[in-house]
Amino acid sequence: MGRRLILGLAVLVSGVCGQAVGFSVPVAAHVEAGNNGVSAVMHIAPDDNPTAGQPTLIIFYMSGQGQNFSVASCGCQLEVRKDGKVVSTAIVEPADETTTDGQASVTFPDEGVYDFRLTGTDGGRKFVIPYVVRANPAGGTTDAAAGTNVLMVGLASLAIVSILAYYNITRGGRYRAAPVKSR
Amino acid sequence: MWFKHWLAGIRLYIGVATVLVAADVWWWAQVSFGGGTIAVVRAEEVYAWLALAILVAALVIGPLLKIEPNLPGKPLLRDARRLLGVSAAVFATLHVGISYVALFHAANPFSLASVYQKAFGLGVVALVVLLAMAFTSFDRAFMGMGIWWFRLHRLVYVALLLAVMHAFMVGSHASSAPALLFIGWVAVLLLGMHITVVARRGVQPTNWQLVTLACTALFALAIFNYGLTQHLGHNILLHWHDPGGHHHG
Repeated sequence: MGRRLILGLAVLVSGVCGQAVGFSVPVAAHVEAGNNGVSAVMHIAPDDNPTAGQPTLIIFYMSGQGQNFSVASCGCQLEVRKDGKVVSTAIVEPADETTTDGQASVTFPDEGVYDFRLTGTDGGRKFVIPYVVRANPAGGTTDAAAGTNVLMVGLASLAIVSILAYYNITRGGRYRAAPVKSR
Repeated sequence: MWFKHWLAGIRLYIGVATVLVAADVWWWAQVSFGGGTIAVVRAEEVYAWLALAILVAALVIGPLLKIEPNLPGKPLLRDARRLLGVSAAVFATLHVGISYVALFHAANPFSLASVYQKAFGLGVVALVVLLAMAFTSFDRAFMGMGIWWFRLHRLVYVALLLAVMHAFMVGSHASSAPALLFIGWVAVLLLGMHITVVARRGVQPTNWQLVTLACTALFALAIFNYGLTQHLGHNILLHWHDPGGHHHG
């Protein structure tokens, strides 16, 4: 029994560690916007966390009103603006063998908030899809120290709840006296 | 009196911990990523992973108690299981609500790219199952629904498979090596525990049990292979002899 329990706990702990590794993996963001019948979900590769001064791949998963919409024929362009001024313009090209995924490469000159305008035509109708993107300063993408402090506060509060739970549950004797038969 | 009853039970603390974790994740995302879209994205993604992890924790308890009947704290674990399921449903709702409103701007799902339509469909079905279970996770529902309570709550495995499939479809990093490792580990653990339970029961398993286990294992393998295909860029089951297949990155 004891060995089995230890084995079980080891398996659980290894799973939790695996989970922790999973959490540390950056995740994908998908921001949707649309105009004039065209919808596009934007993803910034690889991490939706662009850094100034580095080429960044912007991917659009698009859909039009008709079945014939294609990135190759929409004449799609991506305009990048900051403080109302156009910083750069990029052509949106087909991303892969599908006809509705497009991509463009953008380099943000410095940190700050940028306005994206994805433009093109679908069946002769022009569409303009806006997005807002924040580029981080080169060398530092997040305020990791502040984030760690918040996580420590969270862990401390969970520790307090655990202590309270242990104290009240052992003192109450609810599980000892009358086992719960719920499922 | 009722307050003392709740104070001496595990459910109250799991509920409080759920609220604390949800608030702390939101705070962490806002502080770490300076607000804006990226902070919302990070928060809703962590909520999704938490929902999945807590759901797995709840699912492990059932077979674990059958394999180890003398496990210390058995009544407590049994009691905790229900609230863990509710907690998973809460995090899944936060994930869906925040994604749909803040990132997808409450768009008509049918106007989205087809991969998102399919992924949304799977995710919504999984959420409906989790919510149905959460809303019937109290004693009166358990007594009143009879056999249907068990039938409904067995759908949790369907919800888990759909949620993983949903993650593989639109969470591009869900098919990364560490995430695949974690998901594969969980699948082997859960299936292994259920097979152990059936094998140890001492009576011949029914055809229904065998078919359910085999189908679940096959579905899990197929979904895992889908994630692996996303990761490698080629289907390892179909092209096992072609390790250098097309890679999507």
